[in-house]
Amino acid sequence: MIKTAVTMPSVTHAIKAKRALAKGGYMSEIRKSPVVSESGCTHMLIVNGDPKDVIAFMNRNRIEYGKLLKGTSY
Amino acid sequence: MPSTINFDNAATTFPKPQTVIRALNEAISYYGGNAGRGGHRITLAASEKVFDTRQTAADFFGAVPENVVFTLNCTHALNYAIQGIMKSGGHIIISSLEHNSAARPVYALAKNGVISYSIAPVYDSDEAFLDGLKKRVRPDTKAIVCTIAGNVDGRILPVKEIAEICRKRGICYIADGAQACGILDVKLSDGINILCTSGHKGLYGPSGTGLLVSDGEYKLAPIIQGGTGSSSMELEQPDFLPDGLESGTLNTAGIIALKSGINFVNQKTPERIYAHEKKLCDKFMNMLDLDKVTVYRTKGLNYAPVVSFNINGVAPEDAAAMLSDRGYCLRAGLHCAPLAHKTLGTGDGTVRFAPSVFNNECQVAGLAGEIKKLCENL
Repeated sequence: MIKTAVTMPSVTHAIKAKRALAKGGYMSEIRKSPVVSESGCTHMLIVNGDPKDVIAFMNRNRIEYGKLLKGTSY
Repeated sequence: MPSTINFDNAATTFPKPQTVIRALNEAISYYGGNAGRGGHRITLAASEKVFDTRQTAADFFGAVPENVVFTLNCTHALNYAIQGIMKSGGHIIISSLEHNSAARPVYALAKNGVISYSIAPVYDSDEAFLDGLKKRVRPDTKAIVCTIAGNVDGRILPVKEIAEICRKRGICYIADGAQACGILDVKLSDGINILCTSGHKGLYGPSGTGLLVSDGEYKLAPIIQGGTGSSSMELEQPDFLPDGLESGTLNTAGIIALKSGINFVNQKTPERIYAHEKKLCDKFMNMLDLDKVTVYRTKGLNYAPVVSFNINGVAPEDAAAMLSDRGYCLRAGLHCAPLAHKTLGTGDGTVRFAPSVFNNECQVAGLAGEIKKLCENL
């Protein structure tokens, strides 16, 4: 299963996104990001799905997110 | 010892629904993690529960969940709203029915030379009040703060018309919903930009819960900074909601139980709660001997189910003490709203009858009977 990891502004945004993705058929889980960003620690979503599809779904549904984490496997 | 009946539900509703009590117990027993912090399963379980309440409140008021901020009470929310909007100065208008939760932060900012303010008198006609509001608007007016329903007499102010005045002039409309939410149908779609309310009154949540619900139109500068579990490298407070206004550990148990309170209101519906409490208020007023008791209401105006009265010739605190001795708990005095008492001409205060969904007509008849006895013995 291809997975997509995206950082989220806050745990509130992460839970909102997780529930919206679930409605769209994308299962995901919330974790703390292993990558401490420039602004500090943050939560992230690990989504079961291809990054291109997941990001397109999030953009289409106006789901706020931070950035796509590349080079990380889950 | 007489049984104790609470008619002071405008201060906080009591008793609480059994579902709220069970939720509070469950929250303390099973959801003890620090919501929003860490990534382990205990904290994430608490975070999910907190989000459930955020979503429930958002749905209830017509907002998006991230614009629902948990506060300690309505005063806390009003301070965030007023100080957050006015931090950089400007002019603000408040109505003459405002509680000290709105009036004091405004006065403090003015006293420190940060802002100027005007008080729009509330008259016996909504039109006169709205005219006065418009006349007080200045080019630098940034916000209007108005209660939706006054906490002393329950007077309902015209929300949509106030919103229209604000919208046309680019002014932030901050509404105090402490006496209205859960009883009247309050929605951001009425034009309210920032709704402040308590969780422990008409929403039947535990004390220590309040809400600030924003439509996202106006940014609020934080007045408290601290840990949010996000952007932790930055010394600057996050500028997004809810984190920007939620520093420090949340009242997780209270917030989780608040969801049960809102669900309780949803199940009963605000319309039915209002109808029940209005019926109790009407019965109460009908049973009073108006030669001996003064009721502070004006015909033709709309009121939330709260009745302010005085037994003629008896100080309100004395009347409340005598009723308390007979098992009836009503609040007397100024109700932290001196502006409202000035407006009503009740400088020495009033006694306030404020029923909840748990009161019944038999209790009201008992209270009215005790007041009758007090009047006869004067």
